Amino acid sequence: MSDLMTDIELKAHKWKNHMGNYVRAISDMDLNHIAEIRHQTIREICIQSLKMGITPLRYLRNSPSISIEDQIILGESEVAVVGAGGLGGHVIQLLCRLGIGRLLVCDPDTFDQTNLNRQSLCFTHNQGMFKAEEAVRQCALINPAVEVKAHVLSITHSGQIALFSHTNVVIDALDNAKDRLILSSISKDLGIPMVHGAVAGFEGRVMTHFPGDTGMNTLYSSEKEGCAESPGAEHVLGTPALAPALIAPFQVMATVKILLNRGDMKHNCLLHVDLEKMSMNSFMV
Amino acid sequence: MRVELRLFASLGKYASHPMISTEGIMDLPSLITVGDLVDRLGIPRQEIKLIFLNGVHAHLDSKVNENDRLGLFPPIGGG
Repeated sequence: MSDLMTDIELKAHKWKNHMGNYVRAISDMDLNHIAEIRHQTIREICIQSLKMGITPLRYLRNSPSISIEDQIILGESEVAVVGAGGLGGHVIQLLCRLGIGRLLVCDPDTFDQTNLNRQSLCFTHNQGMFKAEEAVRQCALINPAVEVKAHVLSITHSGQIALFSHTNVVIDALDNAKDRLILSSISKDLGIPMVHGAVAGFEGRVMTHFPGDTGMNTLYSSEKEGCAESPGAEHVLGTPALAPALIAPFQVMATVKILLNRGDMKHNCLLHVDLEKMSMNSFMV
Repeated sequence: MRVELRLFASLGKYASHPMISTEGIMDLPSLITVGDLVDRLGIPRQEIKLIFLNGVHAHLDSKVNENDRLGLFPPIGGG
């Protein structure tokens, strides 16, 4: 047994879980301490602990919906969240609590008061701060085992593909058609899935776009019929807090399903949710 | 013929048209296209981004049939 394994073994203790069974677990404090003395990241110590069948207490309540094996896969995964606003804020926090190993957060903007109605990373005290950098700060408070990298920039051209060279899934939490099409083109070139989300009023939608799918083009490409397209419904209806908070978990669930290779993932299937009408419909795009 | 219409997001404002029942049911002549139906309701075509007939992507020139479910979406891009 390596020194690291011995360190973890010595700190493991019996813990009665929510199902009444005793399991071996380890605290955040002990994980942090071992990472410090072994000069490794907390994420690496977490994964090693899980591989030894010792569950970090912070992940105990994920079980059995997320098994120890699943938790290891999540910890070894990288997800890019493009846009850290209404959808992105919730998506980032959920991925962080789930224990995704590495998060890339791309957003060029700073928080302003119009974001306070819906953006979960936005507070009265962080006005004017870069959204991507705030994501790093807030994730560190939620789960230091997640390595978060901020890119204060827009995704504007396919040359930015290198940013995502180790990414397993891209999440589209953007707010305009042009950037979304660039992002779907990048994900296609990378050969990785992109999970699309969009909101307007009390409605929202989600769709997983796999490389080669045509769905994003159908949703966002310009028909060029000689007349200008109307502005997005979000400019007519606004974006209250509810729809971003509802659609983000659907995006994160789709991401987890991809990472854990769990269940059927339909191609070009758009799920639309209307909170006000309390209805949900799926469409083949 | 009977057609069930669902107007999503900002298109909901057209649902009060007298041709549409409160349940979203329309009584239409046969051999009508989605484009004809949209024009009859006075919905500007440029406000429509996505059309679904019975849950499957369709177009303005798609034919509408008895008991079809028609869904119309505006562009949606908020995040």
